[in-house]
Amino acid sequence: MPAPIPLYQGTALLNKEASKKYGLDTYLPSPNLVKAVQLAQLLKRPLLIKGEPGCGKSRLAEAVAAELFGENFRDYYFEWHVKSSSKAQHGLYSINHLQRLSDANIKSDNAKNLEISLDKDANGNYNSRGKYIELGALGQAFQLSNQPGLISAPVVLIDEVDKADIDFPNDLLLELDRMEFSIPEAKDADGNTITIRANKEFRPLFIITSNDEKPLPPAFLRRCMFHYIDFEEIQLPEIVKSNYADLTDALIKDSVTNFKYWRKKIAERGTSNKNISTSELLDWIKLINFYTPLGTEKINMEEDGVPIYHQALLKDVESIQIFAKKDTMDKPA
Amino acid sequence: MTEPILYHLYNEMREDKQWISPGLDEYYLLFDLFETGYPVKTFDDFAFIIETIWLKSHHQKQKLRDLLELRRKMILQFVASLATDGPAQKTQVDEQVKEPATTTDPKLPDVVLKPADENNAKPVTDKLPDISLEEDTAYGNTRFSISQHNSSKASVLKFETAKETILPLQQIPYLFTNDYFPIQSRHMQQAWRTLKNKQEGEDGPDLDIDKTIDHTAKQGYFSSLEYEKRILNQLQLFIFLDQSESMIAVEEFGKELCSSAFASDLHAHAIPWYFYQLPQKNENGDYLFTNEDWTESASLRTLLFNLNKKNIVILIYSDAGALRNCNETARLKETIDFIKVLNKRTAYIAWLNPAPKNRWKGNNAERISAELPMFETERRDLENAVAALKGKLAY
Repeated sequence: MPAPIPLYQGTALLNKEASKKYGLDTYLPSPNLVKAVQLAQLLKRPLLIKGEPGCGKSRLAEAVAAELFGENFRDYYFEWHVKSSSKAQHGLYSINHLQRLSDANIKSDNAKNLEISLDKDANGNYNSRGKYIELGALGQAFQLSNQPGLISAPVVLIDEVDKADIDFPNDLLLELDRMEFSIPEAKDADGNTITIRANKEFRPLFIITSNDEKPLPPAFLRRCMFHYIDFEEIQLPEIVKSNYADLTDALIKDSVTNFKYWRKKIAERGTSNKNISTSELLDWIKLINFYTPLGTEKINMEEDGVPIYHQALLKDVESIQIFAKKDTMDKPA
Repeated sequence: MTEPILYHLYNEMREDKQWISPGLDEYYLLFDLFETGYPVKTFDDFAFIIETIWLKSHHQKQKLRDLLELRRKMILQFVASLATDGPAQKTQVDEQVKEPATTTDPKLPDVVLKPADENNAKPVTDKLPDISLEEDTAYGNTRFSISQHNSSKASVLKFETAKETILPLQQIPYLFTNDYFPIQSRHMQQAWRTLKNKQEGEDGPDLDIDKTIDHTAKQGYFSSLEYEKRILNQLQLFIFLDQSESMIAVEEFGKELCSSAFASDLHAHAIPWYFYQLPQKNENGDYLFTNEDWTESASLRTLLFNLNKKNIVILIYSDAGALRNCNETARLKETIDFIKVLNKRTAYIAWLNPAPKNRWKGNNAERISAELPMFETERRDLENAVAALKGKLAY
C-alpha cells in the first residue's frame, strides 16, 4: 500500500519566527483554502485560484512547497510568471538559437557539433539544462518528479495565467493532462527524440492564479479544481499579528476595523475600480508600526477624514476623493 | 437506499445552461475523492467539495448553494452514511449511479420553503444520528462535527439569512469608468478577440526574428529573412444598431461595441449599420440599413453578398421594446419575420439588450428572446453573446 500523501495543513508559516527559516514572510491560509489544496493534492489536479489582487494567491504555492519540503523547498518549487507575450512552450523548454548560430560561425578546424542535446544523470533522468537547451518550469518539475526518494510532488506556480493570449491556457491542456511533452528539436545520445515525462505517482502540483482579466476557456477550466479566495474568509487580525507581534491587540483590532470600514466605503461608493487589499493593509500597518511608540493602544486613524498614511492604501484619485468629501456613512463603533 | 444525490446534482447542473457544466471526468473525480477516505462529515464539507471540483466561477457559488440547500436532506443522509460506514468502505459511494443519464430523475424530494427566521436560521431536517468525529485523521487536522439536529415534520427547509457581504469589484455590474459603460472597452476587445476563425494567408510585412534565427541556425548560414504569415480572420461580423428614441440614452454603448471590435484587430470591417425600430423593408422584400446620419444605405442582401454563410456573424443591439414596455403585436411579428430572414443567411445571431432582464417580461423582448439568444450588456453577457456567435451554447 502506498504511503499516505503528506497533505498541506497551512501551519508552516504561521509566525515570523517559523517563516524566517524558510526565508519567507508569514502566510495564514483560511481553512477552506487549505482544504482546496488538499483536494488538489489528493486528486492530482491543477488548482486554479482566483481572488482580488493582493489577497495572497501567488504566495500560496511557495507556502505549500515550504511546508511540504522544509527549508530546501526551493529545490522542489518552480515559478512561472506569465506575461502578455508568454507562449506555452516557454514553460516547457527554450532553445538558445543565438548561441548555436554564433558557434556555427566561429572558424575552427575541429568538426563542429551543433546538435541540440540533453544528457541524462546517473538515475537515467534528463538534466534540466543541455547543449543549447534549457527546460522551463514545467519541464523541470516533470523531471524532478522522477527523482528517487521524493517525499511529495514538486510544486509549480503558474502566476497570472490570464495575462497571456487567450489561446495560452488551451496550449497547455495536453501537457497538464498527460504530464509529458516531446522536444522535436533535440535528440538524446541514441539519436531519439527526447520526451520529458513526469512520474505518475508524483505528478507536480500546479497552482495557477488568475486575476479574472480574461475569461479562461472551458476546456482548461474542466481540468482544474477551483477556489476563490473570498475576502471575508481572510483572517486579517491574525495576519497582522503574525507579521507585527509587537503591536498591541487593541491597536490591531482598531486598525483592522477601520480598514474594513474604508474598504466597505470604497466598494459602496463605486467610483473607484480598485479596492484596498490585504497586502496594502500590511504596508499600512508597517508604517503604523514604524511611527507608533511600543505599547500604544490607540491612535487617530484618520486626519481630516482621510486615513493616516493613506499613501500606502489609496492608489487612485477617486479613492482619495471619497475620503476628502464629507462623510455621511456611519463610522465603526 | 439513499437517493443518488451526486447523480441528481450532476444532471441538474448539466441541464442548466447557465453553468459551465461538469464533465463525466469531474463526476468520477468525486468518487475518486471519496475512495481516498477524505473526511466528508458535514453538509458544508460536501458543498465545499462540489464547489471546488465542479464549480469554475465564484459567481455561481450562491446558485449552487441554493441548489444544494434544496437537497439538504439527501446530502445529510449521504454524508452520514459515509461517516458511519467509514472511508475505507465504499458502500454508499457504490450506491451512487456511476453512469449518469442525460435526463434528471423526476422523483425529487418535495420541499416547502418557508421564510427565514432570524432566531432560528438553522435548516431543519429529518432526525439524524449524532455524529461527532473529532479525532485527527490521516488527512489533516481540520475537525468537523454534526450536532443533533432538531427534528420536525420532514421536508421543511429554512434558509439561513443571507450574510451581508461586500461585493468584490468584479461583481459590481456597472463600473464607473470615464465612459460609464457597463463593460470596459478593453474587456469588449478581449471578448471580440475570441470571435475568430483564423487561417494563414500570405507573408506579411513583419519580420519573424525567431524564425529567421531558427532557419539560419538550422542551415548554419544566413540566407534569407523570414516574415510572419498574415493570419486572417475569416468571420465577418455585422453589428446592427437600433436608433429608436428609447435607445438614445444607451446608443453610445452600441458605437463602443463597434469601435472595440474594430480595435481588436480581428474585425476590421465591423462598421455599424443602423435601423430605426425595425429595418425598413423595400419592395423586393429586402431589408435596408443606413449609416448613422442616414446619408448612406445598404440592403441586407448587399451586405451579405458573396459571403460564405458559415462566416457571417450578426449582433443586434436593441431594447426590443423592453425600455418602453412595447407590446405591439404587429411590431413583434415584423421583428420575428426579420429574424427568420436573417436565419436563412446565417445561424450565428445574437442580441444584446440594454434593458435589464427583469424588464423584458411581458413585452416584445420576452417573445423575441425565445427566438434567438438575447443577453443583457454586462461583461459576462457580451462573452456569452460572443460564445453564441461562435455557435457554442452560452452559459
